[in-house]
Amino acid sequence: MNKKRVIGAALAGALLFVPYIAESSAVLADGFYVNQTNAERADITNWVANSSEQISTNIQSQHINVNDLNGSRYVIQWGDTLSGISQATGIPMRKLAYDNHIRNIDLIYAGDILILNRNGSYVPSDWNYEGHGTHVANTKVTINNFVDNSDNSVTIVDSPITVNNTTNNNSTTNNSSTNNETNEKTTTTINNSDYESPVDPVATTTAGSDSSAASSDTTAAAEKDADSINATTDSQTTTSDSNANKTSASTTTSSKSGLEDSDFADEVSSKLADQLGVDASKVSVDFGGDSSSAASADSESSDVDAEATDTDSQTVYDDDQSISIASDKLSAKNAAKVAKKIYKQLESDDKLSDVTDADSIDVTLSATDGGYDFNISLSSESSDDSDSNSSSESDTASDTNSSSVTTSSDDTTDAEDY
Amino acid sequence: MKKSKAPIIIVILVVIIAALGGAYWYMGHSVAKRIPGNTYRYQSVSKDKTLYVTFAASGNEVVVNPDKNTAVKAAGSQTAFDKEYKSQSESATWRYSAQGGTMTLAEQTKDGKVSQWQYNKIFATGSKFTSHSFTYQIAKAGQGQVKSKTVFEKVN
Repeated sequence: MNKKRVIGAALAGALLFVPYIAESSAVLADGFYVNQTNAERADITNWVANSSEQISTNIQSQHINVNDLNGSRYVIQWGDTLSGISQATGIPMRKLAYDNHIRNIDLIYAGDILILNRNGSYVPSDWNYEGHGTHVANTKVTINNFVDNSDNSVTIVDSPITVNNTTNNNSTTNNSSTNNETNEKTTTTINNSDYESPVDPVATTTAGSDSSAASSDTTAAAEKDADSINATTDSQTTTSDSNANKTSASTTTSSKSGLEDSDFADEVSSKLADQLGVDASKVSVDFGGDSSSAASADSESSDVDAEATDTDSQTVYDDDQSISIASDKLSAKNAAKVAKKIYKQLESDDKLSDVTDADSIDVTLSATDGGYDFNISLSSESSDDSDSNSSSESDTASDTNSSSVTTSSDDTTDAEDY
Repeated sequence: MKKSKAPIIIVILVVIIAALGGAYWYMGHSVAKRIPGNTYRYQSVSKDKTLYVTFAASGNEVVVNPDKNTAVKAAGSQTAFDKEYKSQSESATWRYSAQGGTMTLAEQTKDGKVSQWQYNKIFATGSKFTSHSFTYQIAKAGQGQVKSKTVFEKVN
C-alpha cells in the first residue's frame, strides 16, 4: 500500500515537471540574452560569421547529435549564419528555411530556435525564400550602451567607410565623410534608428538583467547605467517619450515601429497559422488599430468586429478578448507574441479545435493601452449558426475587410522577419 | 668646493622621465604604423571566441576571419591577401582605419548597412596592442561604448 502511494506521488511529481522538460529548449532560447552584458553582445566576434566547425561545436554543446537530426531544436548562437548551419548539419538551406518558416534566410536571430530536421517533410517546389544565408544572426535586443553621451548616439571619430546615411534625425547627424577609396579619415555620427534591433527588445530586457530599462526613460537609463540595455524600450508611452526626445520626429506608426499596420497583421496571421498548425491562407488578421499610445488611449476605435465578412461566420468570443503585451511596437517580434497569446487564450478556453476546424479564420485585432483586443470569426461551409454578439463595438473606423487583409498576406514573405 | 650632484641627478631623472614619457606616448600613438601587413588574434570580451584580423600592407582593407589559417595566409603576400579579401567581400566589405590611439574596423554589407568598432586608447607594442575601451555602432543592433580592455596579439 505504501509502495503504491510512493509510486503515485513520484508519478504525480514527475508530471509536474513535464511542462518544464518540454519547454526546456524554449527556456534556453528565452534565456539566451540573460546574463549577457552589453560588452559581450557588442563584441565584434559576434558579428563575424562563425565557421561551420564552430557551428558544429555549438550544436554539439547543445547536446544535439548531428548524425541524428530529427526535429532537434537548436538555439541560434551569435555569429551563426543559416548557410553555416546548413553546412554544419548537412541540411539544405532550403529545407532549413522551409521547416522553420524562414522567408528571408539572411535574417535570423540569435536566441531563436531552429528545428533541425534532416529527413521529414518535403519542400514544395513552389516554395521560395530570399537571401543567401550569409548574414550573421541578428540581435533581438538593441545593444545600446551610452556612456557619456546624452543624445543617445556615439561618435566614431575615425571611420574608414563613408556613410552616406539619409538620416531622419537631423540633430545627431554630423557627417563629414568624404572618402571611399583612400585612407582619409572621416568623422561620422550616424542616425540612431539605424542602430536598433529590428525586433522588439522588450522581451529580453524584461527577462534579463536589464529590467531597469524596460519601464524607464531611455535616456535616463542610458546615462545612469553603463551596462544595461536601455535599448529603445518601447514600453507603451515610454517609447514615444524617448523618441520624441531623441529625434523630435513625428510619432507616426511607421517612424515609431518597424512594420506598417498591414505588415503587422500579415505577420500575426503567419505566426498564428504556424501556432495553430493550419495553412496560412486560412488565417487572416484584420488589424485596425494604430498602436501609438496616443491613438490607442483616446480611441477605442479599432475594435474591429467580426461581423464584417461572412454571413455564415461565427465569432469565437462574445466579447473581444484582451491580451497584454508590454510593447506597442509593430514589430515582427510583437506579432509573434500576439499570435502566441491568442493561441494560448484559445487553448485555455478550449476553443482550439473549433478554430482549427474552420475553413477560414478571421482575426480582428486592435491596439489598446495595455496590449491588444482580439476576436475571431470562423467561417465554414456548414456553419450556419452565426453569432454576431461580438460585433456590438463596430464603428466607422474599422471598416476594413478581411479579404483585403488576406490578399496582402502574401506580402508576409517580404517581411524582414520570418 | 665640492659641487652638488643634485642638478645632475635632476637632469638625469628628467631625461629618464622624458624618455619614458616619450616612449609611452609613442606606444600610445603608433598603432597605425605597426599593424599594416600583420595578422592579429583578438579574443572576445567573454574570452570564448577568437577572431583573426589581417591588415593590408597598404590601403585600408582588412580580412576578418575566425579561421587562423585564412588570416595568416592572407598576410603571406599581397596576392594572397587580395584573394582572401575578395572572397570575404562576397558577403561584406571590411575596412579599417588607424590613427593616433584609435583603430576602427568597419563592415559594410551589400545592402549598405555599416557596422563599426572603434578601439580607443590603444597602447601598442611590437607583439600586441591593447585597447582600453571600444565604441561600437552595429547596424540593426545598437551603439554605445564599452569600457573593457581588449587585446590584439600579433600572430604572424
